[in-house]
Amino acid sequence: MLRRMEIEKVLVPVSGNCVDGEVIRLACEFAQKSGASVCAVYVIEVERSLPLDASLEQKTAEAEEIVSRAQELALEYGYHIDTGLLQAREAGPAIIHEAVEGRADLIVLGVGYRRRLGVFDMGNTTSHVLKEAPCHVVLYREPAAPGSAE
Amino acid sequence: MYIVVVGAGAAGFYLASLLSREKQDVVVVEQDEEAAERARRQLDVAVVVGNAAVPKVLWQAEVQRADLVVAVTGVDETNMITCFMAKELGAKKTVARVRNPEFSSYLLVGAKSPHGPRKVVRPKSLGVDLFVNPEHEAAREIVSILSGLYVTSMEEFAEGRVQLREFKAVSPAVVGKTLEQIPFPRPCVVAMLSRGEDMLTPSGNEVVIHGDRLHLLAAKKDMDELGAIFEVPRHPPRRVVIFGAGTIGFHVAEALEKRGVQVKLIEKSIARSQEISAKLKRTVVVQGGGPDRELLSDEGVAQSDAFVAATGDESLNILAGLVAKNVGVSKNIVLVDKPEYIPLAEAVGVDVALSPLLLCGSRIARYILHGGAVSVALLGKEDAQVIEFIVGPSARVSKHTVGEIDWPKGARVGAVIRGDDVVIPPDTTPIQPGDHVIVVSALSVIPSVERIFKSA
Repeated sequence: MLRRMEIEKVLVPVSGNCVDGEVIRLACEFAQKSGASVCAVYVIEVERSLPLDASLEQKTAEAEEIVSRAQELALEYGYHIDTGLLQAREAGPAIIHEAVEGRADLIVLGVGYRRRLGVFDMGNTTSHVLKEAPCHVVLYREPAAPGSAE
Repeated sequence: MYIVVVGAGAAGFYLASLLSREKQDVVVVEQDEEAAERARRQLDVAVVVGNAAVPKVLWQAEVQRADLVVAVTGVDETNMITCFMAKELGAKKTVARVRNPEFSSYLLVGAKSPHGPRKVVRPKSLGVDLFVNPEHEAAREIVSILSGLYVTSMEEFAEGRVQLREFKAVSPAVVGKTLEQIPFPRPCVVAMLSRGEDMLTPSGNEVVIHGDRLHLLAAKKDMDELGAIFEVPRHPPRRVVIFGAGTIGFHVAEALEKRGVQVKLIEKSIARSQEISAKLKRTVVVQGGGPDRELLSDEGVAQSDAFVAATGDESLNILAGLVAKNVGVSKNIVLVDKPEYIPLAEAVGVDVALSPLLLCGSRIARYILHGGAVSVALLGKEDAQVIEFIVGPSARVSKHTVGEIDWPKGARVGAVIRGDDVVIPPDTTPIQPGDHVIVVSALSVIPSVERIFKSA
């Protein structure tokens, strides 16, 4: 189905965890098929005790490293991608905001296999993006560790 | 790699020298005829004479095909303009030496809604991939050294699981013994042995003499125990005296006071003393002149855990470090400009001599990295590097034991990190894809080492 989609812009939220590599690969594959541009974005979440405009040098430097790594990974797949950093209270709404502002046609995001209170939990960010995204969303979930799935 | 180094001052000359010895293709751009001639005569590089802020000069240096442009002139603005233009002309990566932190800071751009996400405007998007600030690098290194049980230089690999530390041989447990005879309590590799100005790749029958410096590679968890055979472990310093309140002295004092260390800063200039005193809340700033015994005794250097000499004058720093030692401080750290002064300073009684230039070079070397490498550290002056590789599924080393691989002369494996385990060779287990392998290598054979880690 994605082959038939008109995709011009792909947004890839990255978080610095193990699924980043796979979502970048997937995004590059989708983008290559239609010649779309890819932008990897990292959201620096600001705790409520600080102003939204707080200068978070350490976190920003870490975020910079994460998006740089995403850019290098994409280059390994022969694709040059743009990167961006956002600072927001929560990652989910910031991703949606960026998708709307940047007119993204597709969001590719990844989620680790995590269980909470005995059931699989995809986390607030992923559920928010799935609920609110105005465009297509492709979700990649890492394989469950042996014996961890129900 | 094709690398353009802009500026042939101390930093540019050092970097060009380092990179050319690594067999990189280096072009130096320098405005000053005399400095350009020195680079042309002493280094194996091409030299373009001219102002790098002029596009024509950059074009002449062929920045359009450069894998890396390193701008290290003494002027921040020139370095930044050079990087912007080089990037625009087609250079793949750019590095600028910038002293003013305001040039390299992030900028937050507000959203339409007050609750909306802020966009972080990064210097990178303006054409500079990496900002290097030698003063900040030096301050960070000093704080890192002062934070451990041993006041020694340290580098970390494999996300901190492996450390490389330098220890001075003064204890009877090591002096006069061959490396094989030293009762190392935990597995480790002596990556390099510095003797005066010489760096030796030691074999097991090398006899350690008093004053030698051993660069030990081992699991982080074992390093404290290993260090105990060289010196008595001390608690991280609680009282530190810093001589010189320049940028480095200030940053070290600022970082240490945040960690609860009692800091005393001695500064010659009255104006600078007042300025620093207003900025630092818990540091005692003393206005004082040269490093005479009386001054240092009066300011309680003997009762301090460490003394840091960080003025802009390397001779004064060495002298101050020696006077502090003479007064009774247990550890001294001094800053020198020229990397070649490090062994000299350490030979006359300085515990740790650091060169911001060398740290800056190390930072850039780490940025350039080597095919598939994830971390790099320079050893000694600049003769060797410790490089961390992650083994790819089709790498030539994959499925072979360390002993089966034909390592080039001057290179050897220091550690293999498999999952959470740190394995110090000899190891008979085949290297697996995903393993981190830490290699100690002479600069001249690094390209051969890289080939081993490339796909078959």
